[in-house]
Amino acid sequence: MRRHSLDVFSLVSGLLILGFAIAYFIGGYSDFRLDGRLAFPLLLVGLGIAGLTGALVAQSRSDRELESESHE
Amino acid sequence: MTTNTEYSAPPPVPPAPRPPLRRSQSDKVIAGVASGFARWLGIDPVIVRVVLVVLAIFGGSGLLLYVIGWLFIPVEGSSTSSADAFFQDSRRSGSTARTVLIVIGVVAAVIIFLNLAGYVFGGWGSGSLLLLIAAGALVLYLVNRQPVPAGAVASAPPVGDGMAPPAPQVGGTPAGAPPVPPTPYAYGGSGQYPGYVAPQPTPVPPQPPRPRSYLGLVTLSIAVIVTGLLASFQVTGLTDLPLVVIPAVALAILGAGILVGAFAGRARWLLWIAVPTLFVTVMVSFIPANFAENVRTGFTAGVGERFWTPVSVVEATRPMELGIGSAELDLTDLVIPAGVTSVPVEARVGVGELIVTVPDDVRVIVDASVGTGDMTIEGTPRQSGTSPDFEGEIPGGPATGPVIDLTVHTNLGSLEVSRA
Repeated sequence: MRRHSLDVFSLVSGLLILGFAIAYFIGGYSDFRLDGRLAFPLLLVGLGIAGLTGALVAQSRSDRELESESHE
Repeated sequence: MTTNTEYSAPPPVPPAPRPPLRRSQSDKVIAGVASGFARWLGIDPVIVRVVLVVLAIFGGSGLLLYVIGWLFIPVEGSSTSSADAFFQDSRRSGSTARTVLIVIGVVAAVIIFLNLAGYVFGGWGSGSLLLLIAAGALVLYLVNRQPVPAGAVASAPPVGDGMAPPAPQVGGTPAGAPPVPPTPYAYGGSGQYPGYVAPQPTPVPPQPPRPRSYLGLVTLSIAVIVTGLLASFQVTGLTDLPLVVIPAVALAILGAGILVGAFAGRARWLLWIAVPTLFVTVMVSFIPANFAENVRTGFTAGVGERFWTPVSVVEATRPMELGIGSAELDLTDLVIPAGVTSVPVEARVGVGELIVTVPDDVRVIVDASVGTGDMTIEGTPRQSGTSPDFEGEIPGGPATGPVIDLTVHTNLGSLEVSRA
């Protein structure tokens, strides 16, 4: 598998999905219960944060590249 | 001697075009949005910075506007913004870049809706309005944006794009006349910075096609296999997992795949599978824990309608079960012989309803429970939701005498116990 620079959107959204999975897994064996009505609003907010963070990191990365090119 | 020459006025110099809207790299605090915008407007960058800070403090929209500027205004020396690159990337590789913006748009819409409804961020006032305007600008940008053909980044920007100032067209210049040298940029068209020379665009070589990644397909296949195996183990009784664990494991595998894709390979599209899987997980979490057992019972205990009317103790003490459907247990004709002090009666329904009628001249002690649903026991308030239960004597009977020891349960549905 080819390595590439860190994809922040995948990182945050992957952690988010994994977090939901762990919450429901734990809920299967204990009294802990994630309110189902909250799951989708939380998913929306999490994906929004993932998208925004990913876009900003990609932007600052391309800014740095342009800056280093202009210095060369 | 005088030469009779006709005076001709010099051709009017057209106003210098406005410099392109670019984020400044030479005068920047964070990303050069404010100074770039100020140069475009021909005003002092400090003014723009102050306005942004004020908007950020009162309502927070200054921050949002800055982020939008960062995303949508190209940096000095480039003709494409990161949003452009985003869309180009989306068209070229079929990645989920477009999804990111759609998600942001949906979240923004939700925030705006909540703002307007005044539920969450009460008192934002102008912040809400500016959020709305910002969202509108975003939509306008997306709607009016011309499709960028592949490789357009590498080509020179069009005339008037500002990267190379267009030669002024002097009226009356005959064809073939030597070209008029281009006028240097002047901020705001006032000509006070004649020395400014616009930076030339840096040609960007077209990106080679990215190698295909099988990470997503491999992850999805593993998730499908594991889910199928767990479900078959569960059905055959090899495992006794809580039902919600099966989709949760599938969700965990998908999440792990997306996470691995952050470092190597690409698997963003798995999100389209993970979101419905989360929906299924949430729905399954509402199902009572022993639902699977009840479904199994449904195949053995039967499906349909049942009317149980035991008249003898022997009939009454036989277990009465229905898998899926509607059952009525009528104990009013039950004859309790002298000398019998207690008659244990048990009735269960997996999914559906169970209606029990007990005689009014016999003491009845009931142990009633419902997995998820409604429960109505005579003389007690109606209960509903997850795991309603009741243990005690049904009021209205005699003080002494034989007792019907009633155990009734509905896993998913309704349960009703009343006196005749």
